[in-house]
Amino acid sequence: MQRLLAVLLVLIGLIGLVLGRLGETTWAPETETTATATLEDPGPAVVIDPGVLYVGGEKGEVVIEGASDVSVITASNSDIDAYLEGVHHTRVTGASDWSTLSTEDVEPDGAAEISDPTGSDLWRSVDTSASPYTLDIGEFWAAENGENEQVYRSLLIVTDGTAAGADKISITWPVDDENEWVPYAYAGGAAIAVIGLVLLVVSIGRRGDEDEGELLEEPQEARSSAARTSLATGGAAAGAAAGGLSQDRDGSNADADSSDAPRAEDPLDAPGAREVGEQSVWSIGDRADDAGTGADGTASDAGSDGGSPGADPSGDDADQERR
Amino acid sequence: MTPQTLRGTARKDTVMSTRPVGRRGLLLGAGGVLATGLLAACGSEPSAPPAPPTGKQLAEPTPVQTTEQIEEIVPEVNAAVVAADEAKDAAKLAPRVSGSAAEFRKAVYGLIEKAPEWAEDLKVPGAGTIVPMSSVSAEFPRVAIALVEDSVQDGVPYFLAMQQKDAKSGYTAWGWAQQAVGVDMPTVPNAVVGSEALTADAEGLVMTPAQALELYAKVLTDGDAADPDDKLAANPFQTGTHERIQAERKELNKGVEWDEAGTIRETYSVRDGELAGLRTEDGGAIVMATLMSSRKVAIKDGATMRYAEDNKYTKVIGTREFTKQYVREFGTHVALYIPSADAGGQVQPIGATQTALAASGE
Repeated sequence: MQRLLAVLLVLIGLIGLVLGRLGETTWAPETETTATATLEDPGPAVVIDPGVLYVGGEKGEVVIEGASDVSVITASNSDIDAYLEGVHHTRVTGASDWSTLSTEDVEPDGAAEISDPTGSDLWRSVDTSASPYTLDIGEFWAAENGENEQVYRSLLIVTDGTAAGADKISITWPVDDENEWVPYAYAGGAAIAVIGLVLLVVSIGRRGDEDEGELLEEPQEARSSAARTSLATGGAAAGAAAGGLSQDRDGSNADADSSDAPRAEDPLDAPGAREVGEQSVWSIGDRADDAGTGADGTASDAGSDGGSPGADPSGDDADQERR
Repeated sequence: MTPQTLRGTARKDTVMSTRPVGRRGLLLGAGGVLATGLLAACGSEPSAPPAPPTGKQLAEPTPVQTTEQIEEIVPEVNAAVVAADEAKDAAKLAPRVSGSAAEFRKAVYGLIEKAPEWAEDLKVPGAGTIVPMSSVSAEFPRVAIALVEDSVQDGVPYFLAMQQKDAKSGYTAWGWAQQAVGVDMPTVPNAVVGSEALTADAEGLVMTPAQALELYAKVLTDGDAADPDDKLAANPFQTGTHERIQAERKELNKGVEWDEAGTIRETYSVRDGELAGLRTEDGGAIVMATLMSSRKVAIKDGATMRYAEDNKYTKVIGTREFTKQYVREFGTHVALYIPSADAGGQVQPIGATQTALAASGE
C-alpha cells in the first residue's frame, strides 16, 4: 500500500512537471498581440491618434493596407486637425481589446476628396510606400522621446486623396507574458514527486528490513528448536541454560525455573547454550541478564521493571515475537 | 543507549509514516496543488488595453515650422521667381509667390516689354536659407521670416517674408528686402525655440509695428524733420533714396534758381494687409512690410524738362520731354528692428528692396 501511494505521488508530481512544461511551451501565451481595424468607407484620410501606437508598449509594428501607395504623414496634432476640418475622415482612437482597434468616423458628410494630400507645408514628414506600409513603433517612439522629446504625434494616413485613406490597419506589439501558474506547477510537481520518491525509497528500505527481520527470526527460531532438542538430549547444564531461555520467551514462571536451575555451572559452558548466544547477541544479552537476575533470585524485580524491554513480555519484543 | 532502544525508535518512525491519515493528506495535497495550477491557468485572463498615453506636455509652444520645413519652402520660392523671370510670366510665380511680390513682378515684366534693360533690376532671393525664423503661434494666418542667400554669388542676403493663410494653403512669399549693409542685426531665437508672432499693434516695444512703419514712411517722405525725437536710426535705404532725390532736384534745376523749374517729392505710404512680425531674442521685433511710393516731378508752368537721351523710364513713357509732371511709382519691401520697451533705443531699418512699378509723364 505504501509503495502504491509512493508511485501515485511520483506520477502526480511528474504530471505537474509536464503541465509546467506545457505551460511554458504549447500552452504559453502568444509572444505578440495584434489589434486590427478593418475600415469601411473611412474617407480619404485616416488618423491614428497620439499615443495609440504605444498602447501595447514602445515596440512593435504598424501595418497599413490601402488601395494604392500609402503615405504616412507626421505633423503637429493641431495642424492635422486643422487640415482635416470639413473632410470626412476616420480616427483610430485606441484599442477596445487586444485584437481590435477602436475607430471613430469624423465628419461623414464632409469632403470626400483631398487635393494633393502629401503636399502641405504643415507636414513634418511624409513617407510614401507601396501597400502594405509598415512602420516600426520603436523607431517612431525614439523620434519623439529622449533628446527629441515632444508631445506624442498623430499619424495621418492617406493614399491618393480620392480613395480611402487606408483599408486596414494592424498594430502588433510584442508580449512579455507567461502563464502565472507555471512556477506553481513546477514547484508543486517537483515537491510531490520528491515526496513520492522518498516514500518509495522508505517503503523499499522497510521492505528490506522486514525481509531481513524475517530472515533473522526464522534461523533464530530454528536454532531455538535445535537448542531445545539439544536440551532434551544434552547434559544437565546445557538443559538448564536452554530452559532459562525457553521460559523467558514464553513468559512462564521464571521463579520456579530459576529456583530449579543449577547455579554452580556456567551456562555458556554448555555446547547448545554457547551456540545460541553467538547467533542472537541481543536476545542472549537480555536473556542472560534476565537469567542472571533470576539466578540471583530477583526475578520478580526484573519483571516489574518496565524500562527493561527484555524483561517486559508485553513490550516491543513481544510484538517482534508475535511477528 | 542500548541497541534495543535504537531498534525500537526505528520501528516507531516506520509505523507513523504509514498511517492512513498521512496517505490521505498526501493525496489531497497533491491533488490540491494540481487543481490550483489548473484553476490558475483557467483564470488568468489578460487585462484590457490601457488608454493611449499622452506623452510629455510641453511647457512652451514649439515652432509651427521646423528649419527643415522652411528649408524646403525657400528653394521653391526661388525656383518660382526664376521660372517666372525667364518666361516674364507672373503666373509662374504662383503658388509660392503672392501678394505685393507677385504684383511688383508683374509690373516689372510690363516695364521690360517696353524697355528690356529693366530686367537688370530684377532682384531674386536665393535658394539657401541662412537663418529661419518660425512662429510659435498656431493660429492662421501664420508668418515666417527667413534670411536667405542672394541668388547672385557673394550677394547680400534677403529677408524673405512668408505667410500661410490657412491650413489648406501653403506658405507664400509676399516680399523680400535686401539686408542693409553696415547695420547691426538683431539676435533671433533659435529655430528650435521659435518666435512669437506679432501683429501691427503689438505692445512691449518702443513703438508698435504700425507706428514704426508710419514713422519710417514719413521720414522717407519728409526727411529727418519728420522725426524730431530721433526715434528712427539712420539707414542706407533712406540715405540713398534722399541722395538720389537731391541729385535729381539739382539736375532738374541746373542753371536756374532753387526749384525754379520744378519740384521733386517722393511720398511713401504703408500698404495695408502685409505685415510679418516676429519677436527677437531680446524682446524686440523684426517687422517686414510693404511701402508704396510715388516720386513726382512737378514742372513749373512754362518750363520743360527734357532728357538729352532716353533712359529706361522715358522708354516706358515714350517721351523725353515733360511740361507738367513726370511720375514714377515704386514698391518697397522693408524690414525693421523695433527694440523692446524695456531695452529702449531707436527703430532700426535693417533691409529694403525697392522695385519700380510704373512711370508716366506729360
